[in-house]
Amino acid sequence: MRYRLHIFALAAALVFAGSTVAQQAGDTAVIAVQGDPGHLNPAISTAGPLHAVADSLFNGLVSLDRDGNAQPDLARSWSVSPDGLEVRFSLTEGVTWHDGRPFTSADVKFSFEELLFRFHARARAGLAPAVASVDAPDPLTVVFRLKRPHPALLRQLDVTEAPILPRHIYAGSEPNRNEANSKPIGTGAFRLESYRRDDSVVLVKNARYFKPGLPRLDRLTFRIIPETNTQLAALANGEVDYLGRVSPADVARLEGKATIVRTTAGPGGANCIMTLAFNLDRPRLALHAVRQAFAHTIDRAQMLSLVQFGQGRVAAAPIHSAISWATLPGALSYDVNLSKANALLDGAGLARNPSGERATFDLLMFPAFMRYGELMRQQLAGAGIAIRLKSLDPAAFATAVFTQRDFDLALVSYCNGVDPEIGVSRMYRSAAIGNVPFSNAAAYRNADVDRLFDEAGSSTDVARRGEAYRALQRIVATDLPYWWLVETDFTSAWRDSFRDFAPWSGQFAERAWRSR
Amino acid sequence: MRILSRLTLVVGAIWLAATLAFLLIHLAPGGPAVALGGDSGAPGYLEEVARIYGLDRPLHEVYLAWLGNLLCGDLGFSYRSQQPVLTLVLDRLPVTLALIGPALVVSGLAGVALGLAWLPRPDKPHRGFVAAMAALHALPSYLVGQGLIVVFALWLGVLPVQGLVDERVPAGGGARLVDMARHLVLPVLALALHHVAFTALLTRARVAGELSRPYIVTAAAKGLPSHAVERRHALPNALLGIVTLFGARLGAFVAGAVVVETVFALPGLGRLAVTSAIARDHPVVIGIVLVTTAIVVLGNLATDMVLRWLDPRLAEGRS
Repeated sequence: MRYRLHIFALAAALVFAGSTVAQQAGDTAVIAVQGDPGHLNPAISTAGPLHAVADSLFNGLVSLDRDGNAQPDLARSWSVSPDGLEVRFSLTEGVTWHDGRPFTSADVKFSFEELLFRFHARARAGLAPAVASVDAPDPLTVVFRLKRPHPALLRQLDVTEAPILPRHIYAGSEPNRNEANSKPIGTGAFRLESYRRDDSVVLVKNARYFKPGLPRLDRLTFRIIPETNTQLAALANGEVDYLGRVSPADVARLEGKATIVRTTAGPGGANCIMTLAFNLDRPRLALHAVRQAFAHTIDRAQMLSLVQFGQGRVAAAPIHSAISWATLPGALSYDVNLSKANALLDGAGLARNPSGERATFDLLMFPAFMRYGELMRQQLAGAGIAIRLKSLDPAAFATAVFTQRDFDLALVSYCNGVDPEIGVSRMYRSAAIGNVPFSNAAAYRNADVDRLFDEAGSSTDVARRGEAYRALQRIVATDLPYWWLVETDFTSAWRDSFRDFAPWSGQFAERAWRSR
Repeated sequence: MRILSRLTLVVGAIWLAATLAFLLIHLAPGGPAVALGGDSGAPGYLEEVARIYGLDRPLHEVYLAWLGNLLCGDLGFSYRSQQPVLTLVLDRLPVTLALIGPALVVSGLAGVALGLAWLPRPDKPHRGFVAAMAALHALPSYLVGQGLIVVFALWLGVLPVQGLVDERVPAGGGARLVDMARHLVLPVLALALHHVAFTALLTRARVAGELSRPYIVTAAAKGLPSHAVERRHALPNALLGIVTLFGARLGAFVAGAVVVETVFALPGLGRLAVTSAIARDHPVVIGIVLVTTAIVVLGNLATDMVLRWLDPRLAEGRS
């Protein structure tokens, strides 16, 4: 017995020896991020974990407000020529890089030509084809000459889509291997103090920041915490102040304990729709009636409440509802109706076998989307459709779906971006079929839709563009190359002692402060 | 001569493990180009990235180049973090060792102590203890870690939830060591408890087995108190079996570190292995397999040494 007491005493001593009370100091915000950024060059990668950290070190020509409208950043003003083919930016005066060198238009020209248009996947795909040249006639002026009017331009110039990097650091080097990728020099509100891989990135206030009075916080510490349960415990415990992404299932646990903000945009994507892609190269899925049967079987309202915990909306149109001038509410008028679905499948010749199954399809998805897959499998069983769930990590998923095209169904979170030109056209254009991740997964081809995208993408007239987008939505809502499930919101949370975080922007902490 | 053959075995095991890892990761679908490219891309982008990093070469060429570099002590270069693999691995190794080392000691000592404390007696079989240990052994360290966080960090508030240091108070010197020790208490427990249970049950069974042998009857007959009989006579003989089986579990400690480092957000080798595998950062994954295989193989070697020390018969080649 005496022996057992010793053991308990030892255990207790071990625990309490380590427990001294922690104290707090300074205006530091500790931010939990799920993944390690890898490096800190936001111009050569579109990876989410990288931009979550690096966007606070840099600036774009413009910043985007909560509604996705352009506000001054490195450019203080801009004007568009009457024909829409020339956009002239006046740069902000007195901006310096973190190493003290002045920022000029040469940095902008270099960033677009040598970095963004070559290495930034979205800028290369969505912006470069429209731009004829980026000119720097004087140190404070940048002129974009366009091949055709490109109305989405301004929304593609914020720090996430087009960060500006220093020419004097990158000129003449191989950008992928430049040492500055892990010791970045930016113009941003914060500069790098230390980066410990898979552990933390510490940024400190840029005292020479060109926006008066900003930033208000002294330090930003990004803690890399892969487990969401650990992130929530750390927020509850006060070790972490800000969670950039809270999964829908966890939001209820934070109600009343933290400031919770829901947005449709966040670093790494804006206006995302969880989408079921039909591989139209597969004979059974090429049948229109079969795809209609899916639309009549999948209960999206149930999906919104059970999987997304109400954090979003049932998709009402192929284009996200936040892009109000382009979307077409009510375009997706398929009611949940099993008898209709069964009749459609009977008509398509997919008869039930003795065990009640008509067909089996593979559904590929990221591990994070497993709940969607499980619910759909259950719902589709009602129409005799069997689903084999295959959860693949991102690299394997992209290869299977977009390179090998070896799948029946794929679940993809398509982020529309703040303009349909950014993230919508890639889903439908016939030119976007092939070895490009997250492009036209369905392999959908429709000449009318291609033409309408051309029309909408080359006009600056919002009314005309909206008309073209609505017309093409009517077509795809009938053709059903995809079934649009739910619009998924991003939820961010922070401790109540902090104010003015902007989770919809890459520069989310530029204006944040801590109340006393 | 025996040392030489032993060494050949060690090198052979490490080479085999690394080659298997090389094949597995290269045959996995999706390459580093996709992971590096991010969530979308333009036509030709993946091909260009593949060319820049030399990922478009045939597999046997890559393997031979890798093997050649390995023989010169070069583990390769990480695609993802643009650093030599050796630098990355050596940078992470201390954290993992700081986790595994104390966990080994804790589970060894606490396991043996618990096993001795709850030896089965004719009047008290201690079935509750056996059931508790069996349950503890069955719980995944992922759950144990979450449970420890809830109890010690959230309810009692005495220990931190995650990380290796307090982000708000950048301490130096001795204070920093204390801070790190505080942060390591829960992860070490999460890793160790599973093995504590195993060692406790093992010790209990082995010592109980010894207690039925004739030399114990002799020891008891000459008037020694029971705890002296158990600890001075039965335990040393039982230890041979305990150390053998405990040493064989070193690999399980390394594997457990992967989970524990993820739960507690510790920047160790296990986390590096997971993030590198997801990013298809081939050289890093292979480098980690090399290093951990070496640790396990050397650990088994160390177990043999301890056994020889415990039992001189082994050193003399008798059985």
